[in-house]
Formats: sequence, structure tokens, C-alpha cells
Amino acid sequence: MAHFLTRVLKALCESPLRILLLFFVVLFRSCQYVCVRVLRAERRKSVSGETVLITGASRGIGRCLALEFAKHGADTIVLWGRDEEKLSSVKKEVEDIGTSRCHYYRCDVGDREQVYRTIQKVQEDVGTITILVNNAGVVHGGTLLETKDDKIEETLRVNTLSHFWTTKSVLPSMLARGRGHVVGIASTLGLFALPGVSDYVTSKFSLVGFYESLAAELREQGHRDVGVTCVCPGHTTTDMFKDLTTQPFSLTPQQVAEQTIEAVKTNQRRVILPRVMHLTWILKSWLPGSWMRNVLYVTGAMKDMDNFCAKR
Amino acid sequence: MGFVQLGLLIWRVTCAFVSALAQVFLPARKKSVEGDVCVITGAGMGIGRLFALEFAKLGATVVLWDVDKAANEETARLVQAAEGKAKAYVCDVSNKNDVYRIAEQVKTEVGDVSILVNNAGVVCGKTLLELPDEGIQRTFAVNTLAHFWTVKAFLPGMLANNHGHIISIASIAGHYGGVGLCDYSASKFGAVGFEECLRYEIRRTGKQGIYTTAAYPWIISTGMFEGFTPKEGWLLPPLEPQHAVNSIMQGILTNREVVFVPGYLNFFTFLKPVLPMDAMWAVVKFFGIDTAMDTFTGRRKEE
Ligand SMILES: NC(=O)c1ccc[n+]([C@@H]2O[C@H](COP(=O)([O-])OP(=O)(O)OC[C@H]3O[C@@H](n4cnc5c(N)ncnc54)[C@H](OP(=O)(O)O)[C@@H]3O)[C@@H](O)[C@H]2O)c1
Repeated sequence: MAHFLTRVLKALCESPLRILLLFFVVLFRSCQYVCVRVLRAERRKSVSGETVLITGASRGIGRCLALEFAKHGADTIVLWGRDEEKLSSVKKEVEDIGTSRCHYYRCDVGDREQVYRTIQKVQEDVGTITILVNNAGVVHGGTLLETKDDKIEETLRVNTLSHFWTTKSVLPSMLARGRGHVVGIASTLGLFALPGVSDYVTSKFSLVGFYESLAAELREQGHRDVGVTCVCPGHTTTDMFKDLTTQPFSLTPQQVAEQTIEAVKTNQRRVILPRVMHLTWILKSWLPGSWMRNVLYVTGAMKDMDNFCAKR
Repeated sequence: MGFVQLGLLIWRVTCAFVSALAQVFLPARKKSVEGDVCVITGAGMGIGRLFALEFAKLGATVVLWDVDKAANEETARLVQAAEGKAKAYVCDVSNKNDVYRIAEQVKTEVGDVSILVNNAGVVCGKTLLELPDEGIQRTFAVNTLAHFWTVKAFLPGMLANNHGHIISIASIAGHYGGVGLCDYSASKFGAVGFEECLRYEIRRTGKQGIYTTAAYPWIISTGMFEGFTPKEGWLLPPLEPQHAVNSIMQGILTNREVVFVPGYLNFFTFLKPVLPMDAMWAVVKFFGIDTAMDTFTGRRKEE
């Protein structure tokens, strides 16, 4: 620490202007961000006319996303999932809204070759994808020592690695056309951990890192027209965490879908839902570990996953 | 110039004074690891080897795991030359059957493992579109999934004895994404999340004798990140391996839960959740980390 401050002090004397500049840039950027958000003055883009691919669209958040994109006038919506019956009923719902064409494909995103094959087929059938929403996910639940090895591997394959495969397949055409958006549905469990779902937490943390790196990469390469959004929703009332009992700030999948589309339109890179969850993240980063544990005990979050696992 | 020097002097004296004072009031007692059995993954090279030497010096029996048989045995030789106890095993941590089999072998041949250092790691260092699929899978297998297997293999024994310490060597890339680090950062973020979970789960068992330490070092000049050149090298030079290991060892022996190397990187953890991403990007650009991977070469494969 002392060593560092010494060096900073030295640097300050050597190049005070540069450090000052950094502070100003950081300050300016922060103010700019706050003003833009408060005044709602972001540059907005429209999703009408886009071709949207949504993975895990058979139910829950994915289904709501499909309907919401249809309401906002997306041209074509492609649904992925494993349950064809459910997919076809979602397709009907989308078509009832009346503005979009809709296709669905059976695809297990945990299988890399299948992802590549299906993407190929999609591109032949409907053309290039301009918005990719990586949403499919699984959760098993159980303490680390209780979780089976193949479940751990499956969680990582479906929740994390699938995002690499789908993104790798659609990104080249987005970059070539200078238009596109990649959306990942991570989770607030990608920002702070809870005991009892270590494989899920690991997979969601990884996603947060992945989208941060991807955003940095596109930015450095100068592709400002291809957006990246990482959505971190808290507890949502879908099948996935329906066994979780004590959740004060539950979201509906509809809310998540609306906020996600809003984020795409305003090109936000990180969205934490509900907004108060941002506080939990700040607490986690600022408090020493033992304090944070007390917070979790007091709020009952420590027990959440137990109830969840017990019910499964 | 005189003022600068004088200022620096006063500053250094004050720092030394404060830290000396702190040590009087908060003596960081180091625990003993004598007689412990310590498994180190990726012990054939870099800081894995240095950890082996340090733990052996303190009287622990070190069990060395690496895929590279020759390098691993060289580490064992070095440890034994320094009069430490070492045993080398060839183990590919990305293969869970290998991990479980050799863990059993270690338990019968050496004894109950009480310290686990998850240190093995790999990096591709390419942008997303250039990354080979196998490379991505391998990065996850070694940097993330291996932690699951090793912990599953050794934690039950530690719980039974109520004695143990699990150390995970993640990286500062587990807290910040970066250019050319899509797979590496993702895998390290995962390791960070896993470690956080593990910490909670161990605490929740109520066993007081088991500790965890997560180490988040900056780039260490071991060859793994050869060619990574941030343009503001003066502020964040690559760490000397021995210095990094010393800092982490200090954290381990005093049962610290989180060790950033250098320590002030912790400061950015405070900033991250409150700064908008654009402002964070300005910081990254200032340090020149955005283009630092352009010259990355890494460990070149012989062949
Ligand atoms: N619910 C929450 O509280 C919550 C909170 C934060 C984040 N999230 C995240 O939000 C996303 C959606 O969650 P949800 O609540 O909508 O979950 P859900 O209702 O359980 O739906 C999951 C979807 O993923 C699909 N899916 C699962 N495994 C798949 C596979 N191997 N291949 C292809 N599709 C697969 C499922 O389709 P099929 O069954 O047809 O395959 C289903 O459509 C997930 O990534 C989840 O992690 C959820």
C-alpha cells in the first residue's frame, strides 16, 4: 500500500496533468452517465425490423422476451428450446400479436455441435440474426458435496459455454453488417454468491466476466454499433426458482423482458434487476467477508437456498 | 525537486511508523503448517513451484500435481534438495477421474490432505472469434471445473478432521473483464464465484478449523502472460513471482480470506459497483490495459 502511494505520489509530481486528467475523465463520465439516465436522453435504437434469436424460449423469461420483442415490432423471432410442444404454443402466441414471423427449432444448447448445426439451419431459413438473446439456463441446487459431477458439468455447459458457441456463430455477420446486439441473461447470483447453488453461481459469475470482456473487446476494436448487454435479474417468478420461499423483491418474467428490451434500445451494458439489488452488490464489495455473512444471516438469504434445495 | 524528495521522505517515514504501530497492536500471528499435507496443483512451473518450496520450508509435506512429469519431478528434486518432503504425481486436473483416482492414492500413500492449493491455470489470450472451441473448453476445465473436483476430493477429509485450508489462486481477471480475455476472464470469474460459495458453505457447517483463502494477483512474470504490456507499466508492473508468493503466503498463514496482490487492487473493487462502465473503461484505458493483450505471446508450445 505504502509502496503504491509512494509511486502515485511520484507520478503525481512527474505527470500531475495526466492523473488529473484521469480524475476528470472518470468524474465527467460518471456525471454524464447519471445525467443521461436521469434525463432519459440516451440515444435509442429501435428493435423493429430485427431478426431475434432467443434461446430457452419455451417458458419463463424466454417466452416473455419473445412476446415482448413481437410487441416492439421485431421482424422475425426465432425460438430455441427442447420442448417442441411448448415452443409451438409460444410461436402461436407470438403470431397472434400479429407483427412478426416466428420459427422454432429444437436445440439443446448444452451440445456444441447441435448449436452450430442449428444456427446454420436458422441462417439458411431466415437469414442473419441481428439480435441474439442467450437466455436458456438450468439450476440444480444442493451444496457442493451433494451435487453430482455430471450436474455440475451440465450447468456450466448450458449456462455458460453455450453463450460462447452462439455468440461466436452470430458475431461475424453482425460485425460485417455493422449492426447487432448480443444479450445475455445472467443473474444477480453472478454478482454475489449464496451458499447451496455453487455450480449455478459459478456459471453466472462466468457470464458476467464473459460479457464484460466481450464489451471491452468490441469497444477496443471500434465496433460501437454492435451492442452487448448483460442482464442480472434477481428472483423471478418462473418455474426455475419457484421453490424459493423468502424473496422480498421478486420480479415477474414480464418485468425482466420489458427491462431487457429497454436495455437493448438504450444500449446499456449491465442491468441489475430489481434496482435495489445493486445495493447488495455494493455491500458485498465494500464490507469485509464476515460482515457480509452477517448481513446474509440477518436477511435470511443464507437460508433461502436450503429451503429451495429441500423442496427439490 | 528538493520538495519532492522531502515529501517522499516524510511520507515513507510516516508509512513505516504507521505500519509498525499497526503491527504492535495487531500482531498478525502466523499459523504453523508443520506436519500438514499440502496438495499443490500445477506445481511444475511458475508460482506453483514456489508455493511448494515455501510450504516445504515451513515443514509441510508437499504433494505436487502437474501434467508435465519432468517439470514436476524437477520441483520435487528442488524441494528435497532444500530438505523438504515432497512427492510428485502426474495428474491432469481437467480430468475428474484422474483427480479422484490420484486423490485416493495420495490419501493412502501420504496421508490426510489438510491444505489444498488450486493453482493450475491456462490462458489462450485470443479474441472471441479467434478462440478455438477446444481452447475455451480447456480453459474452463482447468481454471474452473478442476476446483470443483479437487475440493470434492479433499473437503470431506478436512471436514472430518475439522482441520484444513483451501487456497484458490484466481486472478485479478476474475474481477475485471478485458480485451482478449473472454474465456480466461469468464473462467476466473467463475472460480471467484465458486470460492465465495465454498466459503459460505464451509462457514455454515460451523467447523471452525477450516479456512479458505482466495488470492487475486495481478499479472505475474512467470511466462504465462508473456508479452502482456500495459503502456502504464510504471504503475502496475508485472509482479515478481517470489514477491507474489510471499504476499499470498502471508495471507494464507494469517488465515486471510481474500488477498489482492498488490493489495491496493482492492481499491478498484470498491470502485467497480459504483462507477458506471464508461468511467471504469476510462480507468482501464488510462492504465493501457485495453491494448495490453495485443502483444501477448504466452507460453509458446514447444513442437
Ligand atoms: N427465475 C429466476 O429467478 C432467475 C433469476 C435470475 C436469472 N434467471 C435466468 O433467466 C434465464 C431464464 O430463466 P427462467 O426463469 O425463464 O427459467 P425456466 O422457466 O426454467 O426456463 C428455462 C428455459 O431454458 C430452456 N433450457 C434449459 N436447458 C436447456 C438446454 N439444455 N437447451 C436448450 N434450452 C434449454 C428451457 O427450455 P426447454 O425446457 O424447452 O429446453 C426453458 O425455456 C436463465 O438463464 C436463468 O438462469 C432466472
